[in-house]
Amino acid sequence: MLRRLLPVAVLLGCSGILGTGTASATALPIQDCTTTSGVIVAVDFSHWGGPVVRGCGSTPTTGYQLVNQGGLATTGTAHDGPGFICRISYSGFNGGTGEPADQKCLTTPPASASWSYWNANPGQSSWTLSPTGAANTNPPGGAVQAWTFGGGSPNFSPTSVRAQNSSPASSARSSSASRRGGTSAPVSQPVSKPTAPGSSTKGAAGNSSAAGKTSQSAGRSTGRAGSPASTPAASATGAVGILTLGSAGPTASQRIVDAEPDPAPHSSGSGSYVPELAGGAIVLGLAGLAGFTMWQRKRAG
Amino acid sequence: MPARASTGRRIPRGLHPVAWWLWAAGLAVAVSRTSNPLLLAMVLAVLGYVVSARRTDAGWARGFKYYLWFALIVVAIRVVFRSVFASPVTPDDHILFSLPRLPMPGWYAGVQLGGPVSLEASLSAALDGLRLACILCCIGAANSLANPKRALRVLPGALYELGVAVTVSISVAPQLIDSVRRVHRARQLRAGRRAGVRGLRSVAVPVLEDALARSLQLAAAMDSRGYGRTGTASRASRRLTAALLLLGVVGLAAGMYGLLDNTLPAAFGLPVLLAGSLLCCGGLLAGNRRVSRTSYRPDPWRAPEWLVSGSGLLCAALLIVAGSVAPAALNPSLYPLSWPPLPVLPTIAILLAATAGVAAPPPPARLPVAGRPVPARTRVAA
Amino acid sequence: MIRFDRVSVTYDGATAPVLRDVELDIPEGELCLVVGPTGAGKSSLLGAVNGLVPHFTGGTLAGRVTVAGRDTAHHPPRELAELVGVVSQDPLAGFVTDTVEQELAYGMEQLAVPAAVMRKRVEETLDLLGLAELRDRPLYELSGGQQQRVAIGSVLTAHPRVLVLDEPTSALDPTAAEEVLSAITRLVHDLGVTVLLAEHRLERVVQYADRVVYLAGDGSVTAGSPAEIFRHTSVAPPVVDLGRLAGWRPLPLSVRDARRAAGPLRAELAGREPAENTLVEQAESLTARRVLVRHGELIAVREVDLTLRRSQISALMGRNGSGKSSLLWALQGSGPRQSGTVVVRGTDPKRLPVAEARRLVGLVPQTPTDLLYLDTVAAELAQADRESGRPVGTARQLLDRLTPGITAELHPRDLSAGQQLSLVLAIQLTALPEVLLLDEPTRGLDYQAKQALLGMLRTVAGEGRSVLVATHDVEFVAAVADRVLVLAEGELVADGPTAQVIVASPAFAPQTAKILSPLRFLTVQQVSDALAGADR
Repeated sequence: MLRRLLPVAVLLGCSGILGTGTASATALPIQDCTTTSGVIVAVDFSHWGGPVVRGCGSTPTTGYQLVNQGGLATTGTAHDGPGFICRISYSGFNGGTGEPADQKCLTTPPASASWSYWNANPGQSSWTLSPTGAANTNPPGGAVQAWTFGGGSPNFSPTSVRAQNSSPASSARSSSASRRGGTSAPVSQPVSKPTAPGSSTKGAAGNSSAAGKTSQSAGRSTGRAGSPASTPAASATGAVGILTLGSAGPTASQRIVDAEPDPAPHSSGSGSYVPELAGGAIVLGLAGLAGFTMWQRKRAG
Repeated sequence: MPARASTGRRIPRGLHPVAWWLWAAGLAVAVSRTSNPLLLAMVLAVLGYVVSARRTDAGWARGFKYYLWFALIVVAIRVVFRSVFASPVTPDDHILFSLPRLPMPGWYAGVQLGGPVSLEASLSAALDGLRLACILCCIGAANSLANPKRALRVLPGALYELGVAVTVSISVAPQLIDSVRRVHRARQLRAGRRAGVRGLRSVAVPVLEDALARSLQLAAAMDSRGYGRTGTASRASRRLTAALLLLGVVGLAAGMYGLLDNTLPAAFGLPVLLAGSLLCCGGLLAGNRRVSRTSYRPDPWRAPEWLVSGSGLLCAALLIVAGSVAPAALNPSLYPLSWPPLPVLPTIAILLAATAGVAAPPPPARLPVAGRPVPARTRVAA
Repeated sequence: MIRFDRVSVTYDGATAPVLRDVELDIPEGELCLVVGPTGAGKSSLLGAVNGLVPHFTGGTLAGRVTVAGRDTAHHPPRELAELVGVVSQDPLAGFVTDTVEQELAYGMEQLAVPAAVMRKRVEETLDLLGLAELRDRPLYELSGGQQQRVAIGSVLTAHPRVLVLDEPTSALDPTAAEEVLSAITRLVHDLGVTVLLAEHRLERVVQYADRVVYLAGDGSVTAGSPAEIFRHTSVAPPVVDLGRLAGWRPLPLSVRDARRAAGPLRAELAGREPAENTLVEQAESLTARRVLVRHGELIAVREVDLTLRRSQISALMGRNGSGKSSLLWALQGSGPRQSGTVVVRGTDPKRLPVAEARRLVGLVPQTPTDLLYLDTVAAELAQADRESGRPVGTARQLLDRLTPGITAELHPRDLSAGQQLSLVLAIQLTALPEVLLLDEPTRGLDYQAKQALLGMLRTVAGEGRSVLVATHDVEFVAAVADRVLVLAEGELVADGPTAQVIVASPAFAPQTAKILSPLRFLTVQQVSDALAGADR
């Protein structure tokens, strides 16, 4: 920890009070997002047969933070840094491997093979491609953001994923946001879409592994035993409410999965500086040899 | 094998210029595969050592330090640009300082000026710049070790005129510099330095007129000495050569584009590239059949040439292999910030390239000149 | 070998042909001298031999030019490369490679000569021209004479039958010119090469010529033996001038021949002294003490003391590289001066801003065209008025006094060398400087232009200014200068009246002095004045 901060220690004086520039954005349970506060982010994994994962975050926040909390995590490219979203992973889908898994994420992938970032501010009923990058976008409360793969616009409408409640659904759950710990087990709540009841069961079956985890985590979190029961109803009504609004709902093959607020663990950087000493020795040796050769030539010629 | 004198020292001679260029190209390809600062620094040190050991004493060979300065400028520009044009800041970044953010209009919101400058972003920009700078220094090393004019002489017959054009344009630069210096001095006699367009015009116009007159004289001289003889080639065969070369180059460009662009079908890239290179080869062969010119004292290609070019190409191959085996060490991620590793295989590869400094024969020494030389440049001053 | 059959050359856009109905037949193995005033068409004539006119320069050539049976109409210059070799005035502009050896081989490479033959020919040419120890030197490091010899060698390796040289010695000092000319004569006599040579400075070369082709300037061409042709030309070296004045027959072309014929003339002039400009001690205008100029390691001017007086024309002589240019630039104030003092009218020009320094010391550099950057002569003159702070039209008046007849709408680069020199002279004189310095103004000028320059400098000196001219041209110095300073290795080795300095050493003596020695006549003008004075 100390070694990691050593290069920064000298420069901390410069940063001053301006500090980190990121706000106190945290992941919230989906119910805490209302029509006027909190931002909802929806990530569409349907390219790989996955669901649309919906997460909620408090404001002020950036699009980058929204998609890096609550079980969602991103990977950047080696060339552009983390600011370019190359892979998005959800802990409850495919064991948390980022999609697209075959992308090496060294250079910028082409437009047909990268994630695109869509915005819908409060009151907008259609998606607009975001003019700024994820880390530079500060969405207002009540906005909805979407991530789709492959360049096309999302085939679900903002209204279908937007929060419908005007006040946080359960205040008791806000305490769980402060829970620390290494588990990133998601609480996936398969909300089936009754248009095709058959598919819903399929969806539920397909998510059996996740459901299994659900029961485990539900068992673990005693303080929240009651809440998972209540939430399906609430979100189910919400989902039903979405469906009844009509045609702009997600298709049969898509499910919406809500992500449980969960701070992503910070991986600590480590590494000894022995390689540096070796490398530095080699470089200095070569430079010394070069200098010696030049001195010899100057002396001779 | 290079002939050895009885004392065991090798006979000094200049290495074939293509060997040095292959070596430098190999190193450049190797550099393009990595962004590890330790490996890049090692490449710079290798370049410095080989140049100082094997460059000749001619004027054109002393330019390597300017390439190093240029490299520094490239790195600085990259870091400044990255700081000014705000790159996205993640929560993991260590912020160094914050520039005032300039608001941009909505339709241009994709570009942002100002904002917090993070250590990771600056380091990433510096490493990117360092990689580009290393590639530039590879080119600069090749320029310092091998006379570019002699390198152009080995071009096949069909490209000979192109080579001569490049050769002549290389020699224009020192003449232009000389001209500018002379005219600049002459400005003092009239009105001194004048700022702005007027002042530029008063220097540019005589220099350009001079250059034009001189180029016409050069063209007349070359024409009189037989440059551009077509020999036994008929008009039809010349047209055929030109057509083959043109189609071949277009095919190469299209094939390269097809390979790099992922949206095109895979069948487009490689076959077109192969077809293009075949056409190019055909054009070069057709062009060579003309009886055109001979070469005076061509540089031999012996064992040292194989060793030098081989070391550079081997270095490139090893780094490509290392890139598929252990990519993380070649391109260490900055998130989280940690000391970069020193992978073994790439290090050995780069040190292998340094052996060119020993494998190449020592450069020919310049004999001391009897009497004081009167350089034509200072003739103007003296 | 070379035959011109009713050849007329007209350039695009020109009203009159440059050459009209030229009939010429030059047999093999002759040194043929092409003479004529500037603009008479010498370059066009030489270019037509090779085919450069009209294949390269454009224009129309009527008639036939045949070289060894090959018609230039059907053979562009590159096809004639193994037959005709061309050497131009500026050898550095014609070099393609880096070193001497490669340059010698370049021509042969273009002609597809086998490698073994190439090696042999390069060695032979190095020996023939005395370049053997220079073989690995970069070309830009050579002196002017060495460069010219390399240029000759580079066309010689192709073993041409004809060699065409366009003013090869104009940029060279006398010693280097001697080297080049002796190399050329050796080619003619040892190898049987036909040489066509155009020159302005005829003093040294006229004795070697087998044939002279004279272009009068109206497009016509007369050819014949030198003794015949020079009787009636407008351009003539001093020896021919003297011969014409004294009426010697046949016309002697060399100093030796002239001395043999000069007995009666010497007797006639025995008691008379030439009218010399007596060195009246005028006021000092420029005083320089211990001037030191250093270029890096090289010391160009080594603590020189110099005084220039009003109304005096002084000449600065010395070989290339002796520091003449450095000294002139240091005196003007724009060039580097590491130590020493220069005082003009109580101030040091180096400390003044450029506009002020111009009013004290004016310098015309070696390449006068470096100063010209506007589109028309009128624009340049107007700019000169503005720069010097003089009323409009001052420069124009000066130019008209120096060289009348330069139209205002011409582009400065279209003027002849002499006209460009007078334009730049007028521009520099607009500032009315106390001291005027000229760096090698006689390069590329024919006799008439030199005469005009002489008149200009006398006018300037007559106004009370001091003039210092750096030059190689001994004849010009003999005619114009009151005082001569000789610089060698950065130091002044001689400083005294003209007659004293330039007659003292045989190498520096003008032809008239050599012919009439021990009499101290320096120019033909002095001789004619003395003869005219006697007649009265």
